[in-house]
Amino acid sequence: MSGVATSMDHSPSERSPRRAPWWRRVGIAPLCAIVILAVMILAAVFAPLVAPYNPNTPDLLAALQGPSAAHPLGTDALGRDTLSRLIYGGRTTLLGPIVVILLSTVLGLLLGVAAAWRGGSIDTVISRIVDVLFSIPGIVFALVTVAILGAGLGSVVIGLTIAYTPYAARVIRGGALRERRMPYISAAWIQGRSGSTIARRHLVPNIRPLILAQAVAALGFAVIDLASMSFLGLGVQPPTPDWGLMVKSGLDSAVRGQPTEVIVASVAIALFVGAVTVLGDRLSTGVNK
Amino acid sequence: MSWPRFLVKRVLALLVVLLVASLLVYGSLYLAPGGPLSFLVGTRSATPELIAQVTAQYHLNDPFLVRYFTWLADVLHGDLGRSLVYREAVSSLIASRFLTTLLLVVYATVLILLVGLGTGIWAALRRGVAGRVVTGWNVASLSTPAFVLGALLIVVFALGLGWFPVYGSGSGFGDRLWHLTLPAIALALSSAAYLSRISSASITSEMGKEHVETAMSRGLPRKLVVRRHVLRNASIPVITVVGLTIAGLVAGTVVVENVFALDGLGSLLVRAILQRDYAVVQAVVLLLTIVFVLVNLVVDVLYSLVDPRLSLDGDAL
Amino acid sequence: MTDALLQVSDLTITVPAGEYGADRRPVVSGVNLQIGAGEALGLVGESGSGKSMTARAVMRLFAPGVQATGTVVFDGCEVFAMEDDQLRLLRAHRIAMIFQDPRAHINPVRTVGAFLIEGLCASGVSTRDAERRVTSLLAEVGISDGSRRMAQLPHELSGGLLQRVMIASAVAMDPDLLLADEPTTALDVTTQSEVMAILAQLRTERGLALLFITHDLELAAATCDSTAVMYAGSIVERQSSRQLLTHPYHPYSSGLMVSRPDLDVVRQRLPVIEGQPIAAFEAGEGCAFAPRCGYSQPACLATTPALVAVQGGEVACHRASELQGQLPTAMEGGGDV
Repeated sequence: MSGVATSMDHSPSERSPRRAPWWRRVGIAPLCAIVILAVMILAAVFAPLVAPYNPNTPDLLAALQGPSAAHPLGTDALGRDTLSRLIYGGRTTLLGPIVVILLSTVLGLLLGVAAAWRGGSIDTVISRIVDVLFSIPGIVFALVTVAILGAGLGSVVIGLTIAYTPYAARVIRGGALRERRMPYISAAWIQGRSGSTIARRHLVPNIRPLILAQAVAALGFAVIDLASMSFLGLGVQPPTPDWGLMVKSGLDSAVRGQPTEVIVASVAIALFVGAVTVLGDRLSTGVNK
Repeated sequence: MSWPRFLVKRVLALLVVLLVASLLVYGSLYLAPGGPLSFLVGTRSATPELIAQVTAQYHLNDPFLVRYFTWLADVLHGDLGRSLVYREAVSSLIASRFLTTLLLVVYATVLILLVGLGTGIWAALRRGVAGRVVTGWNVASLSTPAFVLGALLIVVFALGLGWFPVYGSGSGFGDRLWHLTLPAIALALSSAAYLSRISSASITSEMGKEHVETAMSRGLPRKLVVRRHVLRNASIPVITVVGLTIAGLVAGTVVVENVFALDGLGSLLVRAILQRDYAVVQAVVLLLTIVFVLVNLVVDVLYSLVDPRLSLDGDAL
Repeated sequence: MTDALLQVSDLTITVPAGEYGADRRPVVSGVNLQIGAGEALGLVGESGSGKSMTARAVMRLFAPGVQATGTVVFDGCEVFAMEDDQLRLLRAHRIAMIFQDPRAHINPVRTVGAFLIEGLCASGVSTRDAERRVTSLLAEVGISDGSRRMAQLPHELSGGLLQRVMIASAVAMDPDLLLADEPTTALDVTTQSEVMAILAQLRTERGLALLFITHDLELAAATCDSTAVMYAGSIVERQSSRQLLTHPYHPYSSGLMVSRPDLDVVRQRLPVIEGQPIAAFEAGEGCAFAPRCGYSQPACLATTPALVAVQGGEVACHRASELQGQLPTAMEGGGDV
């Protein structure tokens, strides 16, 4: 029912006699998302135990095969098992973005809280720098960093960290500003606690849900950006299995008649990012309540 | 604040940003491990002629600020340096590829506006199943990176069904459009999904507002109320999103051009990075930044035009 | 009775409730009221009493999901049975509504002038004529620099001015009935009396009928010919205002009057009606007010009292004939009801 004005005012004594079960309160979609993410991450972590073949062993006699009993997801142009490459590929595809998000969130936290807490000239300086950094498209940072430091996972991670920090800083600064106005902060201040103690013990824990929601949302974008860079040949380098690289080599295989690899890698990326997006949405609606 | 002052202020801010960006772009060369000379020479054979040419072109013997301002002056005169790889002026390299990229971005923008706004408005005004279908479609679209979508489009529509060509940008206007269709879709889809979400949310929120109730209570036809009070008000936050999205397309072309082997700025940039053709990298990055900042400026101006509550200082009253 | 301008009979309004909105709950049950041409009826109640819903029902202005049964007859026409274009004509020309919070109820991105002339232009008046008419209307409601105000945006006007603008726009189409949903609740007391004065003046000049929704019983009784009191979705009492102020028949009406602080008397504790007001669906068997009533007896909890006629009005109370309208209207001494 949309909120066109009603004068209804439910008295607090009225409660639905049955509270919805916990799994429905969380939501079916977020639950599926968590399961999907867990499966993917666990498979990547325990890859040596899960993958049927070595991902890097070529076998040219078995090249470009479709799904079969021996190779459930077929083989690529060098005869390597696609399923194994997919499992191992999760490591770089997912690990890199996690590092980017961790670093950029920590940096964003430091900058955002400092700007919000200290206010004044520090806030102005940080905000101006963030504004300028915002003016430059994120992928440009990654590209320039790769241009200088050479292609590779490390360069891309550094570049993307620089790109993502302004976003984290801005969101966290907003949240920290709102928290700072709360009475409990003033109460702690009057009691004589130092600024950094208050920030650490009181402010940050209360904006934790916001930080988490922001981080999860950004994780999806980080996976996309990193996989894109690998696809372009600027990130993870062959022969390391990586989903972005698999889309690239898979595309060539598809042109030669075998589309399995590219479809599988594409679906894996889309599924992961989709799960992260759904989870991120659910977390941020939880924050806004 | 009056209009002239507002424009001057914004243009100045734009120039500051460009200056800082150009400084960053130019200065980043010097962060290269081993120094700029060894970086620029790279894997090519380090003949004395090459070293002399690189040193001269990049003024490597002068102090940093002199180099920077010389470079800046050159840029402002339209001289973007020479490509080490192609051995021609960077400006001509860019000019020929600019058209392809521009066409792609415009094509994608049209798709984004049509599909994004269309589905968003449709989902918001019809209740029930329509809304959920569109939401599900949006989540799927948002999760699919442009290069993944491009790859899938190639597999299905080019290789599989043969409706579109796989690679290249074509020649002649109609042929170009046909070649650019799959790339434009790949570029546009996730942004269209984002726009669909935002516009749907904005419209739904506006429908529930009290001033809409007032309009209905006056016996105005529903279509008029929706058009004049709901859509117009809801469009205000959407405009900012549209602007940012289009600005973001600029970066997205880098990837899409690579997937479809289009001869645009994006693929030029990637190749230049891999080949350490730094003059090209600087020029293209600077160009992308300029476009990005300009689009943001236009969005800001449009926003203050559309929402009369904002004074030109940007403070909501 | 039958030639009343507005006749509401057995009006029951339900809203979706429960998981996924599958159930329905009543928020208004079995309301009857009528207003004659040029008359004013005050409808008094606290939050959740259903008074605003009742007013909206008169012009079938419902949020999605809200359903209503019963009949609303306006000038011989059944509102609930009307076609859409008939309903629109009704809303445009015969009935107008003004709302509690003018700032939320006026489109913030369009000028005040656009808001005022919208109704007129939609029914065919030229912009020039509409503007002229509206400017003189603004003068009638006490805004003299009308043309300047019309070029302004709503956020540039104070709450009191905006409410006058809303009143002006409501009477611009010359309606026969004005529905006023707590028009002065959001305003300070001085502005309140100004707005009430404007309403009274317009009413006498144009012969407007008025349905005045408020939580302020004294205000309703002071400005309306008759006053009805609502509790938990039903009308519990209706009398001519003068009668009500001196001889309320229902303990709730009495309680409302008694709990109003008096400027002249010093109190140690403010008199209140114990408990919280409830909505229609929270009422159990028997009289909805009985749990909070100081005069309740076991019989009151057994059956719901019907609205019966008493001298000069109606009341829904099992003990009405007993108590005979001898209920207090103000506190004597300290203590509670």
